[in-house]
Amino acid sequence: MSFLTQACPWPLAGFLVGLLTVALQWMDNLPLGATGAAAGFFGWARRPTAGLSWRALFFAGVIAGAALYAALTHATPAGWAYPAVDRLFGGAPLPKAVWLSVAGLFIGFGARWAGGCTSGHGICGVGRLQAGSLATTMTFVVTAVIVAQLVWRGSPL
Amino acid sequence: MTTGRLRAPAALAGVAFGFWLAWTRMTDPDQILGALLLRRSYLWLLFATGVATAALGLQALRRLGVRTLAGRAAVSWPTVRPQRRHLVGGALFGIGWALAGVCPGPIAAQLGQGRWSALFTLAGLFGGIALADAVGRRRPSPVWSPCGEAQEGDVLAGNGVASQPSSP
Repeated sequence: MSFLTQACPWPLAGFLVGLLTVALQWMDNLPLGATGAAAGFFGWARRPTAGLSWRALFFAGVIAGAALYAALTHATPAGWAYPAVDRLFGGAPLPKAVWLSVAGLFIGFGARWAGGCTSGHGICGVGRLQAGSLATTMTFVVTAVIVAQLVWRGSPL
Repeated sequence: MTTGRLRAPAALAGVAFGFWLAWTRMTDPDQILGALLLRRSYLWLLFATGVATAALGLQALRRLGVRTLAGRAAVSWPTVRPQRRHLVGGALFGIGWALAGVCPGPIAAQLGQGRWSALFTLAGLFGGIALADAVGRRRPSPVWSPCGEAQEGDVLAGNGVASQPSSP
């Protein structure tokens, strides 16, 4: 069990996510991608009569899979804590809620606009050697590294 | 390409991905922000290994002429050429990623782990997706969906996505 409670060693972690990408492709030419999954799930939540797409099911599976990990490792739930943002606002809940919601808006709008996020473009798309995915990935990595420097440089992370 | 088959395996793949996200600490914003500050190497090493494994495996599937399990179809994926939307969307996504230290997969996984602050990022995520779809619907050249593929039942379906197999 201690193997599970420790962070997965990176060579194994990378191999596993690559394998999952290949498995989805082999299954039915499906692209690994959390943004499309989120969009599918949200679409279902808004209009349940349309039925559950594979993407919506994948998204629900992600929630369940993380819950399974938490149960197996007897992890203490983090609850409402968000250390980095809590430090920024001294733990005040309202600024934290606004900060995280606005961040979420950028994440959702940007990923949808680009057609994918770290999984869909970063791993699946770049793995497929798609030039558009490479352009997206280089753009969000460079942007995020710059913004992180501006916002979190003084933070003990 | 039909993407509605094999629903139980798709859900299982989601479970595997969620488990993986939790195990690799992708759900820990400190871990992500530390990587973005270039103070931690774990994320970058994992990412490089993941892309290399995916690239090798996908090329192998195609070169060996493997057929898909669901439809006995040729393994293929669309050609996605770089466009403005990749740079605009990528930059906006990068800002959000660095502000919160999460991306869409980890937001879902955090909920499963009982990190309730993810409800805020989730609300933003859904709102942002809905906004992008609403704006994209009004534009002559539409937003594309993940990996360039049109999704069942969304506004982007059938919008000139190049989905012919790019066989070797």
